[in-house]
Amino acid sequence: MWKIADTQLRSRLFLGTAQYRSPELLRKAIAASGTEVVTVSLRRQSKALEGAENFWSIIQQSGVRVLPNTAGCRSVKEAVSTAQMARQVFNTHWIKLEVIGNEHTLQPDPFGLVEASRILNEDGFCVFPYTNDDPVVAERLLASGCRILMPWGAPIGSGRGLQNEYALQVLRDQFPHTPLIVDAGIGAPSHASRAMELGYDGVLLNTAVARCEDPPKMAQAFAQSVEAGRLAFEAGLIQVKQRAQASTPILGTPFWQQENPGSLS
Amino acid sequence: MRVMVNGEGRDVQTNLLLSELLRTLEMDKPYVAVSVNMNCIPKLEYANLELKENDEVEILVPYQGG
Repeated sequence: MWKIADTQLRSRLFLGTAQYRSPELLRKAIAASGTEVVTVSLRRQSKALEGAENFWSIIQQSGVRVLPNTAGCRSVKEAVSTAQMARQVFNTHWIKLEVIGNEHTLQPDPFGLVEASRILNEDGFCVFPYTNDDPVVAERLLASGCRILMPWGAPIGSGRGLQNEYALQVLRDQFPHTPLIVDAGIGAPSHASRAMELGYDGVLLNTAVARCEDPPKMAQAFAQSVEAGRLAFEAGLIQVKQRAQASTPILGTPFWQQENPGSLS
Repeated sequence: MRVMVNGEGRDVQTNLLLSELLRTLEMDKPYVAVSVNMNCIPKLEYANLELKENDEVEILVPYQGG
């Protein structure tokens, strides 16, 4: 068990609910992932989006917590308004705060993000900010009232994995007591596992499961990779070395190997 | 008078209440959230809020999200 936003969870995998080919695949993927938190959004009611009631009933029946997002917001005003509307509909003060600053990379606008975060924290929200891997922005977000940080691994939906492990490690080292979730850019279970090996508290992903050939099976793979990565972090990874170091003891080696110790393995 | 509802112009009676607009659109449901001019409106205020000319109303529903 671990704790985030005053909530005890077993799973460290947060799953998005978008882009599944059918509601049934979404339902099965949620179940297979073992996740306890899924992300959701608000959209205009229209003919193209008919089925909102059905979607919401699937999420409710899954018995998971929801983390509403402000996806698509490009300004502080939009993000704050969307967050307040989400609080009404989903009956939660959790909000995944997105303020997009670049259309090409969909990376966050750090200035708008910090401002929206300040407003929402003062309004009683528990803000999960989708941010970049800049420690200065992280400090500003924490000063605005955030207790959680969600740096990106790579551009949303790109599946490129952790593009800057160094920066993510710096964040982990600099904020050892802040829950850190890698959000966005994860494409394979090995990426998620690596984030957990770095000491991250969890990962949030969507496309890698929703758009693969077999979402329930991939959801299970991610669940196992997240757990493996966390176990490895807790076990303590060995230091990386520049040169080989024999793993078989030298002591008691036969005479023919003593003449050529470099052949040991 | 004319108001914008989810980005589309709509002619409505003067000083129409927000609750009446939602009823007309069959959107008076518990899972719906509404903003007027980008200000989130608490559900308890739907029955008291009179719409004004050129108001921009957004009616949002739960949807998939990443």
